[in-house]
Amino acid sequence: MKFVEIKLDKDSYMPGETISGTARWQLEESVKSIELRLFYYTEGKGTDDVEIVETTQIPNPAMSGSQQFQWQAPQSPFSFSGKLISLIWAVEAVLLPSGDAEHCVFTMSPNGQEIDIRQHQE
Amino acid sequence: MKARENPFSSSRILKVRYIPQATDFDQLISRLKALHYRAAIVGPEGSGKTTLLEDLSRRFPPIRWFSLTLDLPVPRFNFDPDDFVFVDGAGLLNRSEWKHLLRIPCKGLVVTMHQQGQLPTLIECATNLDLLVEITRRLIGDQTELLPGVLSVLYQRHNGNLRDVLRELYDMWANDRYLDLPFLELSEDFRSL
Repeated sequence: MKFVEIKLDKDSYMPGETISGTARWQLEESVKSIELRLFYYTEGKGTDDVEIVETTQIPNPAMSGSQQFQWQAPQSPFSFSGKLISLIWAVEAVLLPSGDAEHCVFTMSPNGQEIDIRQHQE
Repeated sequence: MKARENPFSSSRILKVRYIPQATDFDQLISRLKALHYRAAIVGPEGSGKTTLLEDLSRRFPPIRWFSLTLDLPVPRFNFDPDDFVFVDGAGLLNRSEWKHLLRIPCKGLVVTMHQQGQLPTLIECATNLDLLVEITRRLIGDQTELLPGVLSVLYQRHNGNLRDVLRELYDMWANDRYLDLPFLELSEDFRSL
């Protein structure tokens, strides 16, 4: 059975805080590398945008294993949701070169809560 | 409803791939081969041309993909003889740009157009209400049962443009109007919008 998963130590982080967690995987065939990415993306009515903020490479990974990771969260942008667009932070593990990936979302804001801007859109 | 929860968000719609009508992918590939891999996907806006082009392109690596839009200049067509070339929105090309594109050697050239033109037609994409119902079912499951009348009205309002129908459904969900769906289809206001 093949799997790759990301487990974060917390569900929410504040700007500048250390984002940490563990990537685990079990492969059926060898891969060139596993890339861990800290990124955010938008989701909603229009075209989705993606911005990769940090990456960590795991070259020539064993067929099964795990690795801890940590990055410092940037100061912005904060996680938010409106009616038309949401901004979502996540960490993903990508098997290369196939591109198979698994990700885990989290909230990034000063109070640890997603900012809800819907009331300003009425 | 928050954008990330909306079942009609762009990312969720993109996961619904092309649903062939009265044909299948094997037949399309056979026809493309018979056309020496140079053909056009033809159809009106919101009929699935780009989705089909994307799905076909996945079967022909290595590929070069060009998306043409009204607000950007036509890119330089630059590709290798071994490439399969896919051009979305080729109807925006003028005569000399077509001439240039057709002259460059490549393994295959598949384009989308609103009307038949410089390349033989692979398929004419068209929509119908059943297709809209099926796509909606894939996005919201059994909730689709609540809105057959609503889908019919939206389909007619947007002249069969499924992209625009799905955008209006997005707005209905964003504004929590879906809660009124059982009543909406009976509403004269909704029908006459």
